[in-house]
Amino acid sequence: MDLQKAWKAHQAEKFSQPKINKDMILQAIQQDSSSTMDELKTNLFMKLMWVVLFTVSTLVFMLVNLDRTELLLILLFPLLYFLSGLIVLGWQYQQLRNSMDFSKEPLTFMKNFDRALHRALQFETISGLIFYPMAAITGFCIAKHFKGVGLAEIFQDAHSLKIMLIAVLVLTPLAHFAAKAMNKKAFGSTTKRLKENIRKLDELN
Amino acid sequence: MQDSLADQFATLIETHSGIIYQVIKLYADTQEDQQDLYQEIVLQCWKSFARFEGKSKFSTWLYRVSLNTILSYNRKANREIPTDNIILVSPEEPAPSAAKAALYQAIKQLVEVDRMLILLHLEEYKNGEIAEIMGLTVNHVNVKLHRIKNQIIAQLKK
Repeated sequence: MDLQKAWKAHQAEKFSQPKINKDMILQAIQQDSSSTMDELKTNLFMKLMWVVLFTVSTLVFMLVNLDRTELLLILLFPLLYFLSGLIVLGWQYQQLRNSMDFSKEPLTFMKNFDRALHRALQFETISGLIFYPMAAITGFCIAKHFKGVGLAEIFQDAHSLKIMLIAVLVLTPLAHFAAKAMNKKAFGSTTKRLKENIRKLDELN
Repeated sequence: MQDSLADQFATLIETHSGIIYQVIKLYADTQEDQQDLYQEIVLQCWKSFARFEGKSKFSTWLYRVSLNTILSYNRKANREIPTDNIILVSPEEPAPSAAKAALYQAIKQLVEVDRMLILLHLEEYKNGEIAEIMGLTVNHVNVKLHRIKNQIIAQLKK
């Protein structure tokens, strides 16, 4: 069977001339992209902006409370966390921008994309596992601090420790699985397709 | 400067619009999806256009960008599609015969990379050119095409 002959006949039969003109092309380049890569890039950028906001807010909060040594000590952990998040996210964003070359060989393109996607999701999982308990403990300590309870007192009080422990144990897995489910919904099908296409091309190389 | 580049780009795309047309028909089913995919391909081509050095033919480059766009494409259900510019409506197109529609369907059942391989082959690209577009060796293209053709023929014989 001559597939090429059948294809040519099919094309002649099925398609009339496309009506793509210059104006439509110029209009299309003004549109927003719907590629998963662009979506990931926008997501990363938004996260980066949130981390900038949290870093600045924490710093401002520390500056207006310079006389409260204990509060500064409590806030030092989130500040360090946000600063390191800023560095890692900034680096990831740059990496993703560099890997977004659509004119690269498909296998290289897909592997770069898969790596970037995997790295971004993995970072989110790890940073979340640190963030949720830290947010619960910091929030609790700040609230207690403004009620006049000292840090030493909080950590010596069995009741306070129990509340913090419960908050951490409930919040962390809940937030972790919610984030995982959302990521799976957003990127699950893309990851699956990507892996299948990589496997198909890889088995040839 | 940017305007003249956009103009140059638009002329090139217009000249090669048949390629985009072929690709979107093979990778998207509904008219809306086809319109969306067309926009996405043109947009990604535009974003990558500054990197096009003219070392390869524009058609080769266009196929490669199109394939990479398809591989990273994720149609958004809520994305707005301008309806005043639907390019792919061809009411005068007759329905294909059953045999030819079967060929088309058999190709559509292949995974994305295989679909592109066979499309390039059917469009009479030489195996060397297909290898360049796909980033494979010529030997691998030969082997892969042989397998895909057998797969399609087997499907058509069912």
